[in-house]
Amino acid sequence: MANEKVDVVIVGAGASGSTYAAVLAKAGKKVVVLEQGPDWQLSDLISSDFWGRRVKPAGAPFLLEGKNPVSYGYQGGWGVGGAALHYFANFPRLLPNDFRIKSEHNRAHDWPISYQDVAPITIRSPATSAFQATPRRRNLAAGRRCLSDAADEDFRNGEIWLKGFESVGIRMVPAAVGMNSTEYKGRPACIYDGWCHVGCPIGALANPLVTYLGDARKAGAEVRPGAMSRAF
Amino acid sequence: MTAAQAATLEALGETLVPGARQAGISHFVDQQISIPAEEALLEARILNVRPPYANFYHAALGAVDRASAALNGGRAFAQLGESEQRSLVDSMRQNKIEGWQGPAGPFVYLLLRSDAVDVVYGTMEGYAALGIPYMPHIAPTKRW
Repeated sequence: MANEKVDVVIVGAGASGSTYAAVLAKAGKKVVVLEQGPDWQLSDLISSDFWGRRVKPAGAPFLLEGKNPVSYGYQGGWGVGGAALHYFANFPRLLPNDFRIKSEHNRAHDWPISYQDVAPITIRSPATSAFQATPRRRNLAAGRRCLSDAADEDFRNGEIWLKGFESVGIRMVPAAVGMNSTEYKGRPACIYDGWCHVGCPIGALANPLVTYLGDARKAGAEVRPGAMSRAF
Repeated sequence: MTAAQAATLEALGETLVPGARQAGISHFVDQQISIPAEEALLEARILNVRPPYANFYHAALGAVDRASAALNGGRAFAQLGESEQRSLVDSMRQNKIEGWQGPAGPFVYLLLRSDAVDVVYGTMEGYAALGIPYMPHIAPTKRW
């Protein structure tokens, strides 16, 4: 890279890098994305707990600290698409009191900004809008509220769980997930077969290959797999 | 792996998940630790083991056989009776083996049990044996 002239170099082709690459390439910038791992295609996302480990971490181990560190890298990624190539696409929304934890609960800190400051941005921002995944389905989680998904529908399994939790007095609330409930922009609806954790090759679950990285490449961004950045 | 290491792994696997020997746990691990870490299909990737993964398995199996020899008059784990094997695994799981030398016993238990679960239950045949529909988007053409 030392002698090349580009506008932007992005390190890592995961969720964040893909989003920035798409936004900047669409704005006319010459963008190169460096990714240390391989260049996965949707056809590499084999429905298998064995083969799904190819998209899990494979470099130097994470450094762990604390008295009882847990060696667990399940949520990490390896290669183009990063950790967002295999995940359950849960996108919890911030709530107003998330910014006032110290004031309201005497824990941690308050943020110097409020929910009202960021709501107009985060609700529209490509980085937080479930990878363009609307229309979305909703999962059901305990104690979390979804602020802005009036048009969404619940998963069928959520409806079933809801009855069980209600019967033992546990309150459930909807939480947004980045999965299609109907065909959307050429991506099909989820068919409930449960292989989210090894990557969804049909693209019903939003991953960078079918959302921002696809857009970035269409707009001229170049992704270089197998490229480890060592110095800036 | 050496033949002795494979025998230890098969006996351990069988103790942790019945059927692991027949399902090929030693062949699975032996093949997987001989390829580059980024191609490996091992749970070791997810549990943050430092590559090359062969180092972990050699150290873990060595620790088990040393503990076995110390506690059972010089006999390796594969030479123990079933109840002796279960007893040693129980102690290892609870980190109760004095003089243990190797990766932490509970972690060895976790990782090897996961490998054993993999080969017995993680394949399409394993799902079928459990009566769980596999429903693949893209079916694997090889077990591993």
